[in-house]
Amino acid sequence: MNFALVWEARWLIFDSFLVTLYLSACAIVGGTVVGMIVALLRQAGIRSLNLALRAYVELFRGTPLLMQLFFIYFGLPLVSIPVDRFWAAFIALTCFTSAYVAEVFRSGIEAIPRGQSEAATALGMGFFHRFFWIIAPQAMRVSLPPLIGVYVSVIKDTSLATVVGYNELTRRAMELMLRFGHPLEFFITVALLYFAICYPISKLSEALERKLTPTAR
Amino acid sequence: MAFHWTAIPRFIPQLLAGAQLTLLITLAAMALGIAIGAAMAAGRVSRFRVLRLLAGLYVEFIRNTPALLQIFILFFGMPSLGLRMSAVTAGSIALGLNASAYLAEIFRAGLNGVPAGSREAAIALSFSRLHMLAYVTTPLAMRAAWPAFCNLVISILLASSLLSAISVYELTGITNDISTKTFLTFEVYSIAALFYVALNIAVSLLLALTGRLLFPPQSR
Amino acid sequence: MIEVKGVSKSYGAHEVLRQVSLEVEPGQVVAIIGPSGSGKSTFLRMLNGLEGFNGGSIRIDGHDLSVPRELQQVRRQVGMVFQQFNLFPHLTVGRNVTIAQRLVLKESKAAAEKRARRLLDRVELSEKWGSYPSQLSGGQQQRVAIARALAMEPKVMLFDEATSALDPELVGEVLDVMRSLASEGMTMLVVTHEMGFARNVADRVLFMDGGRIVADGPPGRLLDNPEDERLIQFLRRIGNHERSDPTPVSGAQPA
Ligand SMILES: Nc1ncnc2c1ncn2[C@@H]1O[C@H](COP(=O)(O)OP(=O)(O)O)[C@@H](O)[C@H]1O
Ligand SMILES: [Mg+2]
Repeated sequence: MNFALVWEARWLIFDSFLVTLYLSACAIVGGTVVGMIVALLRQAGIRSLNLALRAYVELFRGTPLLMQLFFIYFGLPLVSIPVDRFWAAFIALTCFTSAYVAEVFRSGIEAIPRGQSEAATALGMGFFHRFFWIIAPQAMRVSLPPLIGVYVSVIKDTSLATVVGYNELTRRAMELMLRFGHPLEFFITVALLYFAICYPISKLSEALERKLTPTAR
Repeated sequence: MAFHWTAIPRFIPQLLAGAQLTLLITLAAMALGIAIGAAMAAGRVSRFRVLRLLAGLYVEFIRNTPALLQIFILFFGMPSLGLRMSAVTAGSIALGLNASAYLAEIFRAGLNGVPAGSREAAIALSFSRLHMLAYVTTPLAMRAAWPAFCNLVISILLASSLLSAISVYELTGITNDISTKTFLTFEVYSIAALFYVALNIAVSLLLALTGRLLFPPQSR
Repeated sequence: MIEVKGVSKSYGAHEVLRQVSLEVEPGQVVAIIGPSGSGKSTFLRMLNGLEGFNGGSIRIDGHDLSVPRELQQVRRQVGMVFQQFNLFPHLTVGRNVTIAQRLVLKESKAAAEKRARRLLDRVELSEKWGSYPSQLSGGQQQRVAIARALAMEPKVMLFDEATSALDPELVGEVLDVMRSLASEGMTMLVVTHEMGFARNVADRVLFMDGGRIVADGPPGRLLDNPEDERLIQFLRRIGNHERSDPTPVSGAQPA
């Protein structure tokens, strides 16, 4: 083991650590916004729209993120949409994440008793009032723990951007290994960095989950 | 952009071979994952602090680091410890270890999901510890864990695509290969997506059927 | 005030309401009784558009319920109180009573809160302004729900088994509020199993069975000298036949 080498490369590693954080943040925001829109549109109860949205969700949940990434990186330029490595990773992660976020919200919404929506309707509230003031805030609470769980996955999944050559943390470890050898040292170091972000967030999700279900034995 | 769907059929055998390898990797990873996962679940509920700590560390470390990195560690890192494996082997083992951490949690949640009432009833009927484990705890825990188990199988199936990053020609690897050689990007990826969706549906159906057999609804 | 003509409703092949007609005068208090599954809830929910209907027509205060644009008008004029209270658990009591005023009636914050305080005062819960529904008893929750409905200044109030989910000792406080509303001249349709309320407060009792209004008349005649065979059996089943005191009969029969 030769961690002196890792220490020497610390700024290079730190640099790509920030890149990973940046890509994660972008994908989390993008995925949440798109996922919420999908969940909202599914509430409108328009049949053909529902079908299309279900197909979207099933497609992105039913195929590997890695393939989606390749497809976007190599496919979009063929239809004259230039995407660089960041954009390919961002778009793929956003679509992929949004599918999971939409499902989380949907089950959160379905967990709200029908009476809530009915009571709001009986008070004369329309679709948007009901959704934003009555349903969404309650669904949000139920959805928060699994949502944070999805975010942990997103952070880990940014590592896939390696395969299109985007210079995030995993890619940097690979490059350093190719240059200096000592794969274990570099990979374990970056693994610990991922762990350092993901572990506290996972714990937060679990704590929230416990708070919402006080009946835990 | 013009599509060349007619060029696709001649790649079907290759894609089928890729799909087969995908299934094999998934199977191997799940087998390994169940074995280690059960051991880790046992460790996490063990009476010994050290065991609980070690199992907890293992589970948390794996669940909070990227699977791709785990694959790299096994494939690129192990040789420096003198352990040389083929890409498929290293990748499948990495995936199996990954699955084991999630399975440990699933099993543990299953055990926690056994209603205290059932256990108390068994004690009241003076079951022995072994009988209780065999006839009450395990069946109920398995039933409680089954849906999460099925979801995990599907996510491991999808995660097996990560092995393409170490040049394993499973479904995603084959697809990338054909795509870069022929530039039929759109066509090949569309077909491969269909393959994955079909694999998902087939595996889900199989699992649903198995679930029906293992846990008949009338005994609920 | 309410004018229902030949209304039917079915779920698939299952006919839940058959040719129901009804007229209710302003200020009338109508108790609706009948066995579980007879269509009482469905009928009530139709009156504020929570359920659609297949044939016939419904007019409330002149508004035609089959016209989508009038539907919103009707909902503002018809308040509804549910068996399960359906308070919004993420909002305080105060916000529960003000939110629809703010969003639907576009009241100012001050005006909405003033009205909410007055109504909460009236159901004797003004000190619960900042509490959350989960911190209240069932009876208190239902009184808040009544205040919430009243905040829209409705002309008609619908109660669907408003006391059925309550512990027996909490039924009285809710019935008291309903009774005082009735005495102030509110038009009310009350689905209930409380025969005491039907007898003493209602001007009129409807007996529903199999999706029809089988009997309709003043409580004295209907409950004490029933003619319809099904009504006689129903009253016997719920134990009305030997009871003439107004003690509530609180059977737990979920709809
Ligand atoms: N959404 C629905 N779908 C199908 N059947 C329903 C639905 N709602 C109510 N019903 C049926 O309509 C009938 C009347 O129900 P309801 O109006 O709730 O009766 P009540 O309130 O008198 O107990 C019942 O047989 C019930 O099963
Ligand atoms: Mg009912």
